[in-house]
Amino acid sequence: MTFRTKLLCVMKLTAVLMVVAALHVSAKTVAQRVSLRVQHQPLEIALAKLKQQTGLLFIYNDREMARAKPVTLDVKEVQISSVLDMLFEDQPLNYELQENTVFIVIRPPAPPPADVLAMMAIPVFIKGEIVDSAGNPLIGASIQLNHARKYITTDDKGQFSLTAQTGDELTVSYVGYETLNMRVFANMTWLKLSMRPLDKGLKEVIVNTGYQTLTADRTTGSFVQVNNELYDRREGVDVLSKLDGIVSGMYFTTNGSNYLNTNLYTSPGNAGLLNPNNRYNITIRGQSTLSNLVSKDPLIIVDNFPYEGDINNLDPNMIESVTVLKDAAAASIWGARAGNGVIVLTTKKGKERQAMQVDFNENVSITGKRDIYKDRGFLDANDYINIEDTLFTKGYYDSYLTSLQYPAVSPVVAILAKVRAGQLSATDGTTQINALRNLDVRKDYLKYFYRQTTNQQYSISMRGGSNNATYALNVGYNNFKSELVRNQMNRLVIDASNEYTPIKNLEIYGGIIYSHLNTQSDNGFGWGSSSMYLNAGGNYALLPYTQLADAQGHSLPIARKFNQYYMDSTRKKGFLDWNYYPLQDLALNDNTNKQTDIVLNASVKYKFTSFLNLVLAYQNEYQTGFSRTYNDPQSFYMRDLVNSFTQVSSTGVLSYPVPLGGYLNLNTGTMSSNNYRALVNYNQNLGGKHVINAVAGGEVRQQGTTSWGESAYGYNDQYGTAVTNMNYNVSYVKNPTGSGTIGSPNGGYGITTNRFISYYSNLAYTYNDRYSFSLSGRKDGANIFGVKTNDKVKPLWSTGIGWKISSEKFYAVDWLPDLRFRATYGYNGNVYNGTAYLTARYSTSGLTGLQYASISNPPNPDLRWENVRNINIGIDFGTKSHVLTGSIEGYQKEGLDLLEPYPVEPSVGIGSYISGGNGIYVTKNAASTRSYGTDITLNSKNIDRKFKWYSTFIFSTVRVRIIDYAVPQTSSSIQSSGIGLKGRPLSGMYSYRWAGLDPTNGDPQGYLGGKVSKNYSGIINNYNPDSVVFSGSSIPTIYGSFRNTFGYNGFILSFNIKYKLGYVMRRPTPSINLSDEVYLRENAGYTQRWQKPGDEKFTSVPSFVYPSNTLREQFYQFSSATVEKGGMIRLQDINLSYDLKASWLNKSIVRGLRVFANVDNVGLIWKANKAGLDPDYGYIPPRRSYVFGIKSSF
Amino acid sequence: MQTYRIKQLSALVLLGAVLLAGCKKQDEFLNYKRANADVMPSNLTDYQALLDNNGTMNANTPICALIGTDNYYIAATTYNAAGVPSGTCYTWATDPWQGYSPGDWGDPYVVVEYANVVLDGIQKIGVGSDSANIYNNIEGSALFYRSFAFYNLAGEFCKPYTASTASKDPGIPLRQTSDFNVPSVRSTVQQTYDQITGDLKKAIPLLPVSPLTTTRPSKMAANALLAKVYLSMEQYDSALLYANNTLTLKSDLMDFNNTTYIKASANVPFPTKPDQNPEMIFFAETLGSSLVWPLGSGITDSTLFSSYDVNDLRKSVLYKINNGNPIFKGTYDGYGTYNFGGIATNEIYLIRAECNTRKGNVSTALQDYNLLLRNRHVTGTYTDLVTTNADSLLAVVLYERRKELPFTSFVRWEDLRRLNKDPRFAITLTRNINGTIYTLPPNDLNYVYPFPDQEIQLTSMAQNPRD
Repeated sequence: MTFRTKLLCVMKLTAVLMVVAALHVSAKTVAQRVSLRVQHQPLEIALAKLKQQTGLLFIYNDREMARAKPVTLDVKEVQISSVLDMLFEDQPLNYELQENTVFIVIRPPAPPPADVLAMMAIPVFIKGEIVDSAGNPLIGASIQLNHARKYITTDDKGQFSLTAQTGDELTVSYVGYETLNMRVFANMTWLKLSMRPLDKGLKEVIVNTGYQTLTADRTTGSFVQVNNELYDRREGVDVLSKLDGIVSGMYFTTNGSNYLNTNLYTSPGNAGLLNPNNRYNITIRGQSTLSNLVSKDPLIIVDNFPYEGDINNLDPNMIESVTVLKDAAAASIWGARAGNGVIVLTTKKGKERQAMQVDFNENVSITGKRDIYKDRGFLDANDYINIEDTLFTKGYYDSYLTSLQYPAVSPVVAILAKVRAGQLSATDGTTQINALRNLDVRKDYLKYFYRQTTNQQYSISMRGGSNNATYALNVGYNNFKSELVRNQMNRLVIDASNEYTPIKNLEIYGGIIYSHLNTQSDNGFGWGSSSMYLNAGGNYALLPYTQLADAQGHSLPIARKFNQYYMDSTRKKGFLDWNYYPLQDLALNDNTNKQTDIVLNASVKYKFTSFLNLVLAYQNEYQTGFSRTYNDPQSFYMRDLVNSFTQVSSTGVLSYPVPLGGYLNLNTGTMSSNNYRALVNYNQNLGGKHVINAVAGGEVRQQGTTSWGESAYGYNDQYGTAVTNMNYNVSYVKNPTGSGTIGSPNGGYGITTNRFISYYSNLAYTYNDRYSFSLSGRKDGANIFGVKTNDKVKPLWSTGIGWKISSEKFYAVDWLPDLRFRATYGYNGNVYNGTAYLTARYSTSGLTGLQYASISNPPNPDLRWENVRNINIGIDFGTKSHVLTGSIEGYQKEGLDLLEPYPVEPSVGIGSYISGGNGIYVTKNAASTRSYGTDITLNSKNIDRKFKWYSTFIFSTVRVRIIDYAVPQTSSSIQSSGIGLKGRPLSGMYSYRWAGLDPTNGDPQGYLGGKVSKNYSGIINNYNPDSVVFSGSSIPTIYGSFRNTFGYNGFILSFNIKYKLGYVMRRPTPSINLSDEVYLRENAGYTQRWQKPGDEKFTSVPSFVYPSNTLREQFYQFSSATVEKGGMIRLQDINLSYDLKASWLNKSIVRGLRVFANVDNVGLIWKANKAGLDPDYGYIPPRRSYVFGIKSSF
Repeated sequence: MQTYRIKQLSALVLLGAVLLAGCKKQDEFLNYKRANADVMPSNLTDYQALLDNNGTMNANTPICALIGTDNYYIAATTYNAAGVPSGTCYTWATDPWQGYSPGDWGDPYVVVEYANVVLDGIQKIGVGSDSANIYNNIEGSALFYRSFAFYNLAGEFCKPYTASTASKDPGIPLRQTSDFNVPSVRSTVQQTYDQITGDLKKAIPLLPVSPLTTTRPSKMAANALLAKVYLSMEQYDSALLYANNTLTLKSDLMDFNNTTYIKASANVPFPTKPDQNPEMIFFAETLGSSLVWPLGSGITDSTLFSSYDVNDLRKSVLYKINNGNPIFKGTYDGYGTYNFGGIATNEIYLIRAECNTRKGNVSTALQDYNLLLRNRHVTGTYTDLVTTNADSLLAVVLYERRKELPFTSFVRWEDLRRLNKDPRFAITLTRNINGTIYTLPPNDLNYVYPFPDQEIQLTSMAQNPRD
């Protein structure tokens, strides 16, 4: 289906939805300000004007309206409720504002005097909700009956219930809001009160920890709340990347906008195989762990429970809001898994007494093709051929050309060999080679493998509620076509939830999230993948003069595994064609992955009293993944496999141990998790001055996976049949050399089980709305660790204080009416995914047929949990009229007992099962780190009139230093992962000190013993500061964003600028060994190499040598000459939207309509390096995407 | 109000009960294996399975020693492309590892660690009356594998055994615990060889006569290895004793004319599974290097190649002519692609022949020698060697070791180290690469490979001197 017809379909769908929606006229709560000017005009006219401005629906009886008195009023930008109050002040009528509907009724007669009332008092059970002017629930508002000393407080939904008598007086108060008073009347069963801010307190922010919802004003920890408006500012395929650039302290190690593109769907087999300990590439306040066996991911919570499945199963449009928990006090409730921070996602939910609200979003994004021409990891055909020619002359290929393994050689080498053997004249050889010099494989890449990326998203959300039930249904559909031809993903997500109050004080909640993800990844020819490489005899190369198709578009073979002579000779014997045709393979590849994920959520809440309730909750998640890889009989993989086992009898008859036909590989995996939680909530407002929010509970979790696979030889895709009577125990002589058995099909069945038990409690106490105190503790146990139970269970705790200075009587700073200070201290943990026991795994030997075991983990009984100690200090402030609001936080994070890969001498003999880089490592709790950082968020209303200009500035710094690190530095430490010295940054980059090029021959030079030296072995082995320089941190120490939003008359223009500063990176460099330049690491730096004396003045690229000199190359690659500054400022996105005015829509059923256009990855504004590198993306710049969309609500 | 309090109280009691009940079950709940595939070795079957890991236990014979031998040479172009460690070992470079930790060192120690895990593990189980045979086989096998690995390491990383200096010459770390927290220390050459021979002698009574498969150790394997070890120690009486013991248990030789076993013209001339090879005593393969592996880039020394008689079937079974050059192809390791690194009867016959010759038992030695050669020649073409001169026979037998075992394990390297001590057989090896001459004189320091840098840096052991 083309894009246009698809769009048409969507428009039709929209129309249908509009009709559906018309049956449920309503809309979301609006806290609008209106202007009204009427001079002795009928009330009806005034109401009509209001309707025009607000879109409110007025329901009244004409007869009653006729009794209304004319009105006179002149107000500007006043809250709608106030305007209504004024209009109805002296009327015989009264109004009732419910959601977006105003009911106009006859004013009841004035209540009789109190004493009469008391005599005729009847009990009334009142349920109600207290909201702010924007309709957000106010949690912990106090309701006082008859000025008694007893208060009740609203719960985490802003709701309350109480029994009173008619004539009683209710007083509702909340910090920073005007106090409300009212009398109880007989039919006052549902009371929804909207409180007006005193325009003094900070904006009400509700944070959700996954266990509790709290008012930010009463918390002590470091939370970042992302509301729906901010979250939806930018479109994205997945739920996390939309947070990039809007949360302080949150750092995306790969650019968030590119999350799907970089991690998934670009090459087959990649999907679902992300590093289980680093799935999201997100760090919150720096990395606090060192070991690859420890998760570096923040904990993701969806609707109060950890989400274990593939995050891509979630649709971003179903997310209502996000809370990010950064410090110990915020996150410690999540205990051992919270060391990397917690991201709490809340899906869209219904609200009680809300008519159905339907939101419909659709958007399309288009992203251009990848600009592979900018990649410097490529050598053009001319240079490449020149190197091949040189290597040929030096005899590099001689052993390949005579080898009995018959390795493939490049077309150029084949021609040179023919010329040398006298089979081709030198002139013809030169002509043929020169013809290749003008070819460029990149052209074919872009033509045959690449395309524009498109992503289409549709979502519908329907929400509402009655007196005792709420419902929400969110449906999202996503269709993503990768930049690689034939690779795509589509996803359907259905999220439904209901809450029901069958009897007083009992709430039952049930929710389900269903998602189905379909991934097709047939194209494994992405730029940089080895699928196009010559891959023979230890040589790997993308030949720049490779052609994929002839002039007619027919697929051409490319040099791959065997040379032409060998392929021809086997063909003569009747073997299958042994050539490799990439385009043919592209058409034949068949890799599909289907993933279904179901999350069931159920909870029961019973309120014993208004302040004490018990929640029993259960969550089950079940994910199944199914992948199918089919190798067609015509694919190179299949022909190669069949040929290598083909047996030739003495009479020349062929037999096929690997049957002719295809090869099918199926893999299935399931993941299930069960969570049981019991929780007691205690929220009470004592005597107006003491507010307590406490929670205590325990939970049990079990998470397990199963996986199994099947495969079939001789598979016929048409009939679904396979050859099953094969003997995998026979060792065959293979072609061209060696022998071996046919790989036996998968048959294993893997099960993993992770178990956790946790107990926790959290207490937040606020006195006099000024002083807050928090205390939280959690004990976690898991079936991971140690021999002793003591080591299995880990207690973690935190505490904090908050002080609202601006509420103090002595506080008299007029220009800064809001000032709050908070500080916390506490511990989180990190989860280690290894084991302390000696473990082994069984397999079956192909040689002996016996079951054998391999050691997978050496015994390590001393392992302990990692600890992260957090100290956080913050100030929240707001200037007069909230022109400038923000928070400034400073923190210190100490990683204690960190697991580190601890090098041991190779003779301990564990090399084959734990190896990391260059050497042998075991895991020990031996390291610690200390991080210091600041997170600053500033929001300003620069202009706030009809034309609006708001800015948000986010600034984070983080410096992580190594305090303890037991790894003795060895000669090659500098070359490995970037872990370094005590007192130096984690991820520090070290380099061999550079002394320029030797002017006589272009050799790289360093320092040894204070003198310029070319003793590379000496420099590399002499680990001392004399030879080595510290280049800086390899991860940004300063990062953040600057967002500006302009609004005028329904138009909103906003753009976000991101920056990362204070770090270094290593420039991709050529290998300065000639043969490696063509067979290991092509790099355009070759063209800048030293060639003659004098060149050293212009270049730092040494001369190229053959034979290879490994140490010379290593020295250059890790020298300070290859270090670049990493800083950059990027214009991340520009977003333009237009809200159709309600007044224009008043005839239609559409309540709101927004059209928007978004440009993502606009470009770099500034970069520190001069090498043309985008620090986030390398030489190939990110692709700009254009998004167009509509959001409508009915 | 009153009712509230009761409700409150009952809720707390309820919750407390739930949590308390949970506490008792907590340990039980948390003592659960994380992955079903993870076995925590606990019984004899598990430990036997660890030893049956042929990819580890039978595939780690070092290769760099063979790379340094004179049975082949490579073209200068091949040398230029060879790199570390093949190229550096080819020219006996002072630092052959260039900072890397070679498999030649680390991989045999993995075998040692497996053996130690098994020995530590079965000790905890103890011998049961019904499982004594199984237990003994496991213990004997573990001792054998560890000795085999130590012997391979000693041949590359220690000075050759010389009785007069062995107690001073530095040996290899003799790890005998599976705990990686115990640091490695260097032993002496005497301790190294005492450990090897002691363990093997302990293993012999524990092991079965004939193994289930030739990847498993057996009485004959332990005897055969002892024969090899004592030969390298120049203790010819003991070598003779254990060679005799071996050949009593197994004396099969393949007739190279028999096409059931030998496909002379094929690229893989020997049976593709070790158990099908009648001469196989203990199967193991070496680590890989394209310089010396079958059909690799090494060109067989022309003197060695021309020393084969025209009717000697080994000329076509062991070699293939490629572009006029003889290339080695015939390895017992018909299963994989690397060199044979285990022990077969042919080697034991030659050990017995040599020991008998040295003892002056010329006629006994000739029996073994002629039997072997008859099986290697075209039927009916071999004339038995007749001599009474032990000295000349010794030279013949020693040269026959080169011809029969040219690319087997590091037999040639071991012979060079041993025989160089005898002025009659001492030779200087040379390599010529485009006119650059590299030499390795007899008894040179470079006959002992250095420990990897990591080993030295992390333990502060003494390094082997090189020049």
